[in-house]
Amino acid sequence: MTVLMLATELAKRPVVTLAGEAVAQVKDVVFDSGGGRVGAFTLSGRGLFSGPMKRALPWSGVTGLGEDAVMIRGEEVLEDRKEVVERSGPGGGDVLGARVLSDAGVELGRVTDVVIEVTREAAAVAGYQVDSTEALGHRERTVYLPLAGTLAISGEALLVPAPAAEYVAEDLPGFAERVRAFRTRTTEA
Amino acid sequence: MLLTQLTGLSVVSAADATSVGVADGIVIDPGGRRVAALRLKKTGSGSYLPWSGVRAVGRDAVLAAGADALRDVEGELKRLAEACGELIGKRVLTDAGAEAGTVRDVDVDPDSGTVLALHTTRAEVPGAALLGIGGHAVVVRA
Repeated sequence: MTVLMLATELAKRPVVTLAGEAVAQVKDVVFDSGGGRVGAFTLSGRGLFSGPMKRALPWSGVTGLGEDAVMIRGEEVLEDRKEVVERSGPGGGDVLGARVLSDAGVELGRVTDVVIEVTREAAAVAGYQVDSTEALGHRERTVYLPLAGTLAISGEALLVPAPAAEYVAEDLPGFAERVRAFRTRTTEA
Repeated sequence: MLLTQLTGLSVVSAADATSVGVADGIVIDPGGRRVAALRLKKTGSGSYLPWSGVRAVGRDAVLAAGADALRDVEGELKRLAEACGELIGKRVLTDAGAEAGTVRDVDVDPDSGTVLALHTTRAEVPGAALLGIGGHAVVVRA
């Protein structure tokens, strides 16, 4: 089963043990180096203890990532935040606000969110929500751009192959189809 | 027998036929998928009747081994008792992290104390799918 969700929607989602206790809530999504997958979540406390937590949740500790909660086996899967974030490595970082440039040098827009594709095994980046320029049709329209197989990424800019621009979708349900179509094309090429 | 039917039954001591309280709820051990204790509206000391102290659960009354079978809960049982405090209406989450309604009722086998099923506002979940009960939610296998 595959579900698409936006990274910013994950913030504040409760982290719940299989014993039914909410032990934290998601603060931020940490992408692994290269930005292709979710590597970890930083956490904050719930309710009265809602400050940032010293412990983080590595992806390996996640039992289920759903619309309503992030499920973990137990609190023992939480690890030291510093170690977890360092292991994820640099580069994945914060792409919100980064320019999206095609490899032909055309600015397609700016990243406003990251679309995550969740399966039982992994949470991979499927693409980006982009505030588009004229290059993608209308200016300042929100569109979804599939992740390119080969891409360069930094906090500053995201480089995508020019054909990706042909596979933009205007909403998430339509995006799933576009991602599949784009992937079929890239694997055939 | 449903939790809503069990609630309100008088609890009578089998030793001397005196009433020791009224059944007010159950404490479920999700690991064993069974009832660990009955919670009573108290009359004397101790508010919980461990399942080992239950002689019979009938249509009209619960028979307890004796008034001395009543306990206060501690340790893991205390955590479960707190989690099971407001079982009806509690949020149900799957292990995939999706909400699956709230608890409407619980079906237990009155002889063994086994949890047969969880009736939620959306479906009937078999007892074997029960994974945990905590302060935040009842967790079931997706």
